[in-house]
Amino acid sequence: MEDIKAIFSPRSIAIFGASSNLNSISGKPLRYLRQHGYEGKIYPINPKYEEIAGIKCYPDLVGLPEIPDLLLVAVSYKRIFNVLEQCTAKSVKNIIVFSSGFAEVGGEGKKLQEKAVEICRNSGIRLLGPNCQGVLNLHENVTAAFSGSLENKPLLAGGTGFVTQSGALGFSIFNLAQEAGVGFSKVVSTGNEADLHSLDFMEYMVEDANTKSLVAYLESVKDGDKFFRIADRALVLGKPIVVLKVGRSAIGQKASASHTGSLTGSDAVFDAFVKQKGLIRVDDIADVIDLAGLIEKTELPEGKGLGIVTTSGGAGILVADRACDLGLDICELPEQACRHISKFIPPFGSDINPVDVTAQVINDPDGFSNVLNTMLSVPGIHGLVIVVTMITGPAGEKMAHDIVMQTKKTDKPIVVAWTGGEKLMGKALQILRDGGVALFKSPVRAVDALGALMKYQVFRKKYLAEKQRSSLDK
Amino acid sequence: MAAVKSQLEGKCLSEYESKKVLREYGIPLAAETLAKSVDDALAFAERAGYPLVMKVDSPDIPHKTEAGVVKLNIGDAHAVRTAYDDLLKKAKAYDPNASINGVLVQEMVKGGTEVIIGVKKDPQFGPTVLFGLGGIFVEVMKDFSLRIAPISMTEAMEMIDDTKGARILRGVRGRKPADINALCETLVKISLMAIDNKDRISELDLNPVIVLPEGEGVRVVDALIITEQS
Repeated sequence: MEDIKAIFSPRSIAIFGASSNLNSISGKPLRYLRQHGYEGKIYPINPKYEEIAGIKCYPDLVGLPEIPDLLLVAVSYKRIFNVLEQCTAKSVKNIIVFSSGFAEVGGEGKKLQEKAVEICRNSGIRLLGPNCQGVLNLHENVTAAFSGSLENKPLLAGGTGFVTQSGALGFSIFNLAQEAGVGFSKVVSTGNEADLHSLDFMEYMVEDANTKSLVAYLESVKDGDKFFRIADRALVLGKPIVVLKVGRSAIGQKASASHTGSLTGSDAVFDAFVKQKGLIRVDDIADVIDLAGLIEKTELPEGKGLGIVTTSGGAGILVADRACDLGLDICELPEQACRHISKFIPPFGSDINPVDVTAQVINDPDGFSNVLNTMLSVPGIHGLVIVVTMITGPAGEKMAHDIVMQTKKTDKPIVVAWTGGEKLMGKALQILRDGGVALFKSPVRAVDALGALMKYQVFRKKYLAEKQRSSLDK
Repeated sequence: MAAVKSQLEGKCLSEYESKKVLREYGIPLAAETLAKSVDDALAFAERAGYPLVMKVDSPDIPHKTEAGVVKLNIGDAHAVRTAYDDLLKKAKAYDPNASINGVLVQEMVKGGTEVIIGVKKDPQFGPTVLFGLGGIFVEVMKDFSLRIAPISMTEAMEMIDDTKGARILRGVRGRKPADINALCETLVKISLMAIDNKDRISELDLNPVIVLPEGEGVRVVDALIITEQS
């Protein structure tokens, strides 16, 4: 996996075809690398310029003062063989090809790609792409990519490792997630996967200390056995794999073939794999962001016992219905806990799970905190969903502070849906965000995300127990 | 267990040849013999008792019911004689060039619930195992579940419970629960067989497999292996 390491952590990066127009595809990588504080050497290559943005520019690859760890290729597909010739001459081992015009256009493009791969194989070159948008390593300020999502500054480093077979969609997910406060460890857009493919990167990320969870946008899977091994490692290490796998429908599959040139496999078989290895399969990018954000912010729940606290009986029922659909346990509270909770809520509230504290909980300044604390101390509760409705002004802000405090005190994950608009609730919501609370747009999305992690952990424990048993048998 | 090489050449295996492979893996089959003559058939009938099923065994006639070369409910020696000649005639009429191994004489398994077990190779994930209840469940209702081989007993149980038909196996309306444990064991064995022979078997179709009441096991009644084209 030395090649992948060089791609994620290059000590030097050369850019073949670097442009002095720093807003063009071939100019952006250089600008982004500098803007985001890349500390290694940068070598623009273009015979047209002496220097670009104050950095010495070289006429060709061979003239570079050292062998760059990584070469970004931003020239037309027509020049690929010239680039590879120079790579071979200079002993460059790792290249990322941004250019399109290869297998994704079919016919000649496909042949061109096959020939390029053959040259790479013979010269010991590892190729990422073509038709890809590059890689990020947020912990080491590596932004070897041209996506507009890199205009944001600073980029948030965190624990989400992201592999995407679609560059455009992938980096827009990255952008949405970043703006929702999700930090990433590493991101890779794999394009046509002519040589290195998604699973090569997932294999690396699963062992990466900075990566806490893996997210993948996939259209096809190259190597089922390898995915099995990666998923097994991820279960052992407790790193959930969230996967957005598209191409369920016949039309979707056809579109995929002309998109990144990949052939999607049978969706039923992929679903079987998901079940057997406890992957979390989601249907939309909103789910990806919800889950990645939650994993970033909290510990994994220990089981599927759910506590529900709301300021509205209706919200409690909504959450309970969804939790039942998901197969979570809405556990009964011990009598003592009920008695304690009943002290802080009016008679028309509910002191059983789902607990409805009603809007009157604010009458006692410690009431809400006490209820949360009591719920969190119930052993059968492994995670808490809190839904707050129209509690505005200082009362709402106090509740937000209470939630932040409880979140910091407990290892059990807490998810919050505050069903009010930004105009009225903005301040309370900001308190939650600043306090690192996992905040969701709706009660159902909150319980979906927490529920997915609960079921993941239940599966994982069972899986590891069985794995241990079968290794003892042998 | 070592892969079974010898039988696995050509496209379709006959039922009897397919079952030879299954037997190697201890997969429970309905009692049967491949009769090369009427006397063979009668000898088996005497041992096994009636009623019996008789069907033509040929790699060239994989869909026997369509070809009309299956006879159920054979009740006595006279019926065995008539069926033997009749079935061979029908087979010849259906496909004059078909290579015919003989006539399969099989116990008629009574009671139980019919299920389907299949194996199909996925280009990325390798052999997969399919399970569902027989009749309309798989074909019309699409009520089946799929796993990538090999599977454990736990996974076999989960895959059964993934289907709506599982409730029927667990016993409804006064029916005795079926032998789900034996069914799980069979699914596990089939998944291992699929892995061992993944370079040779491209598809396996066990339809039906009869799951008898709890404690009585399962019986594979019909089997078809399609081998990998090399």
